Amino acid sequence: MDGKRALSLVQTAHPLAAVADDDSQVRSIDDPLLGRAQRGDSAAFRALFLRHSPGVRRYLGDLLRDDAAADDATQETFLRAFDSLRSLRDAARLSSWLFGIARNVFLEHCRARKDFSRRLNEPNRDVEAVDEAPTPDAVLLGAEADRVLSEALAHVGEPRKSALLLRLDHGLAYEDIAEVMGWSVSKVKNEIHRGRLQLRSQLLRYLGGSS
Amino acid sequence: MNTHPTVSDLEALIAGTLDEDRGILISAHTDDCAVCTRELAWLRAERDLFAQRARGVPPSEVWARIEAQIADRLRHEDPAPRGLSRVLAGAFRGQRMQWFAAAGAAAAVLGMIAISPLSPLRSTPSASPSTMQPLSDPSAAAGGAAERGSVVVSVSDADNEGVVLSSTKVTGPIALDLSTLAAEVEIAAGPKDEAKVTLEDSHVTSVRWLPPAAGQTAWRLDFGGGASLPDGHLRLLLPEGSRVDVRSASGDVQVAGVKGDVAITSESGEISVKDAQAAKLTSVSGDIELHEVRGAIDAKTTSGALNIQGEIRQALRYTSVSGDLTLSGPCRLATCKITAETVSGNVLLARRGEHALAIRLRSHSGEISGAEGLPVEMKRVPGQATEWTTRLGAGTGTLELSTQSGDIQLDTP
Repeated sequence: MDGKRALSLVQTAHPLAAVADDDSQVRSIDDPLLGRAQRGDSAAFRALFLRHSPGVRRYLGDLLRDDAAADDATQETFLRAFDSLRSLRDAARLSSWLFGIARNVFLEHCRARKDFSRRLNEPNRDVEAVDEAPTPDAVLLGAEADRVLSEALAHVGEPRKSALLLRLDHGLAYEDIAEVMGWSVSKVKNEIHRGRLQLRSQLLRYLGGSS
Repeated sequence: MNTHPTVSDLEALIAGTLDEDRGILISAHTDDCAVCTRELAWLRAERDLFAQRARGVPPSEVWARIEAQIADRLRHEDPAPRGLSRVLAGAFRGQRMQWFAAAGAAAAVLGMIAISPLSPLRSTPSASPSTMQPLSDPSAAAGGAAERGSVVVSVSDADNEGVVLSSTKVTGPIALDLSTLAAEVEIAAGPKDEAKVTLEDSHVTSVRWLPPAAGQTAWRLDFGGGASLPDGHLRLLLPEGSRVDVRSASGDVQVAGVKGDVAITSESGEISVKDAQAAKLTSVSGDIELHEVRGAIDAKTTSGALNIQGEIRQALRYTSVSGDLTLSGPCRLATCKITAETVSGNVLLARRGEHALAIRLRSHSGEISGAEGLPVEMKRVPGQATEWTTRLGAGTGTLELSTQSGDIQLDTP
């Protein structure tokens, strides 16, 4: 790979650029990268890492709530991805495939650590309905939004939170989430609906409330 | 529409991905339905909240460890497969070389993913770790390089309390390519006819100088059979005027007094260059300090800052996402041409009275501050970046910053 080509790939992968990417653009970029990475092109695999590691790291950080553990789990996720990259046929599935590996790494981490094992089946306090809407002019920005979301998400138990994050934060289709979680699509929809209600009941205090 | 649309439909409505007919149908329903209006408000709030979350790449060490582990796995594969395995292994040789090289090259920084020429598969077989052998005829290997005729005269010593030493005779300034992962590197000027290396606190127990290969001009170092130094503290003495090209993942790199051209690429290590000619520097998060660089400067960072001491005499090009550029030395010569492009990084000018600069800022939301008493002009074109101009002193040098939200901040006169 020449330097110019590598530069353009990673520039496209920059988080600032990724904001503008729609799904089809993401796929069209992943497609040639995946092929080259499967043939052992280290620069292509590096570019895939740059494109997808922010989401994977954030997902693992939300589940583990421990920065060092999340970094280690991200590393393990991409090492496993490298090992079985050749088994992936469709670049469009790359993102959900990586989240599937990340979830397995998370589960193994929890099983191996006694203090984390309780996270695999956290209790959920179901909310029947949220009858208020957020106040239209309530705006949370940057770090404040991050903090508020983290606090609200802490009230959603695993594995429901995992499914909720895959939908709301990472934009996976219900079918893909079903595959990652090993659930039926109807269960995914049901759990995400319940998770949303829990999240909204927590967010109400920050976003105001109007009926 | 008699029934409520599904959440998926409402999400698609917000995302603008519904087909036109269905979009109209659902919009007509939601306009009159309090339940759906509330659901839409929540979906928008959720989307906006999650969009605010930090989306940074994991710390550079994560990739460095992945790269090192992959290289390590490939290195430990069966070295002498037979039969069909041998044929298949041949197909993956290029893959192995890439990974060794990439690990050695300390990863790609800002997209400059270098396939290092330093792959251990390319290097000559190394001697045993603690008994280095001098090369028999390095001048032959050097080909037409500048160091023709130089001879490696000394060997490394791994038994000197963990300190590894190696030196080679040269005929004058040399070019050196160096690759490290987490090692700290210090390069300084030494005798004009010798290049020396000292390595401490490293798992590597031998270092050997490799003269330029045929068609190449740069010397390299072999670290116990590897092209890249994984750890430790490396000190190099090179003849004045030597050119250095260093690639590092996380170790700091310091070059002082060598007076030649310098190229350094680092992910998270700090870069410091003092008393050099031209400098080409790339960093992701590490800061860059320059002092008395006389030639052109080309610096790229993601979040690392660039601080420059000493007069800027030639062109300076700075590209960054969020790193600041601080000029502590004057820019007053006609040859001082500073061009900066950032997303949110600022340009800070210390002691504005020492500069003689025509300043132009193109920014969407940034501005020039500290310009009290200066003639500042602003040109605003709807839909485009605002252009600010001002001048310090005679305005012989130039400073142009193109940015989304970065400012130009002028210090006291």
